[in-house]
Amino acid sequence: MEISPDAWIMFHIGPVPINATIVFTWGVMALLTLAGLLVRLRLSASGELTRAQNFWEAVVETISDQIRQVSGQESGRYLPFVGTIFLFIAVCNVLAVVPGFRPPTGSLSTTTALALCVLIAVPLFGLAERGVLGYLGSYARPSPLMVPFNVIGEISRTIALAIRLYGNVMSGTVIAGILISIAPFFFPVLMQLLGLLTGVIQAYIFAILAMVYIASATQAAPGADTSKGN
Amino acid sequence: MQIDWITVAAQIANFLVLVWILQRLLYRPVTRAMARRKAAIRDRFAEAERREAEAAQQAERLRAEQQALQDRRDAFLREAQQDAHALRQRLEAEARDAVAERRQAWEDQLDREQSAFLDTFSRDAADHVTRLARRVLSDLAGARLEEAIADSFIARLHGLPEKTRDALRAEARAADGAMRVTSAFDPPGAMRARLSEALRATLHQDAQVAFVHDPGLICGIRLKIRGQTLQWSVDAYLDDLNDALAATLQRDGPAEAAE
Repeated sequence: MEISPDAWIMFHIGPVPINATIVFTWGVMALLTLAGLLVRLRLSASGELTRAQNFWEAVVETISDQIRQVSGQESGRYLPFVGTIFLFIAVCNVLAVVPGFRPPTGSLSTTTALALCVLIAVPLFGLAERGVLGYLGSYARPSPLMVPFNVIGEISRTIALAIRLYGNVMSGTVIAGILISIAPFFFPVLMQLLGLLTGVIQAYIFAILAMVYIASATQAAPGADTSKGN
Repeated sequence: MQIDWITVAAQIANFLVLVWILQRLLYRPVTRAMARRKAAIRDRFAEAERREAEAAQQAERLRAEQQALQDRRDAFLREAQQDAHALRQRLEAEARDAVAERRQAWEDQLDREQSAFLDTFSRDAADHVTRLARRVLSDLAGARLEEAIADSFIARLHGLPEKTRDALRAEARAADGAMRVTSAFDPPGAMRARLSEALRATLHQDAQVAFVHDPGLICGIRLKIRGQTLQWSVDAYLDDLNDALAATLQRDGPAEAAE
């Protein structure tokens, strides 16, 4: 039984092997692009709204509202990054119910990539918001002696972010595989339904934690500790 | 559990591309559409508030105009009532004046008719009394009427009150005895002598009497010395008769007018 879709090499582009993680990621990207394109083409600023526009406006507004609640700031700057994290993970996890689909979020490489993006985005947003001195100075609080610990904390929470998502999605896939081999008719359905719920919750947690890290870096007040566990 | 760093790099690239695509196709268009719709709703609310304020102003203006109209109507009504009252008073006054004028004209006409009647009546009565007196005097004494008149005048001259006689004497002295006797008939010489004698005896011993014939003096004799006059004639009786008739008519006239 293959745990990670990374090991499933589907084809090669030159010398580069293209595994299932990348292929299914492209599929999810194509799906989201298509949805965005459809909304963009039938967008209306007045009068009757289409169901799709209504749905996407609700999604975007909900994400923006969450960002505002967490950061206490306007959502405009953070919406593309945090919103894409949530949508990508949620769609990957929801599509796990499709037979033959292997969610890319079940790959430690994908979650690591997302965590690295968060790891890079946090100081970028912090520097853009507070300046170089303001952001780097936050590592020396409350004392310069805390600089190593703050750096370690920054790295460890990124690792925790990656492993948390990977573990949850991978475990769901593994449990489903085991249950199918034991009781192939009833329990897998329940577990798949439960997987839909936990998949969306994981997307929410990942996005919210990313926003919390960014908010803690962009706000001057110290102590926005975000090492929430799962 | 292992990390394929090529996959990691590819996924980072994929994620960044997805961020860019969704930003272009989803987030920006959707947020702009929502912002435009919010702005449109705000504009509609602002327009509604503006129209509401405009309607309130218009309603206030209409109320003010209605109040002004009401005030003007009340003022017109008051003015019309005052005009009507003044017109009624003027018409009543004119009617009263017209009635008073007609009443005055009627009373004047009545007076004229009464005067004409009395005048005619007095003349008729004088003629009648004269004829009656002539006949009575001739039947009783056989003397002529003129003689009786002269006798009555002489008797009256002698019977004058002291005060009147003194006044006549003073006038006669002032006139040096010149006096004038006017009669309705032409007295004969004997009668003139009798009258002159009586005047000399009573008023002035050197009296110079001038006799004048005046037919307008009805059946009588009048003595005039400067400003003093002494007269006996049927006119006095006729005047008394006239006064009595006038008093009777005055007494009966208002009673008839009141009916």
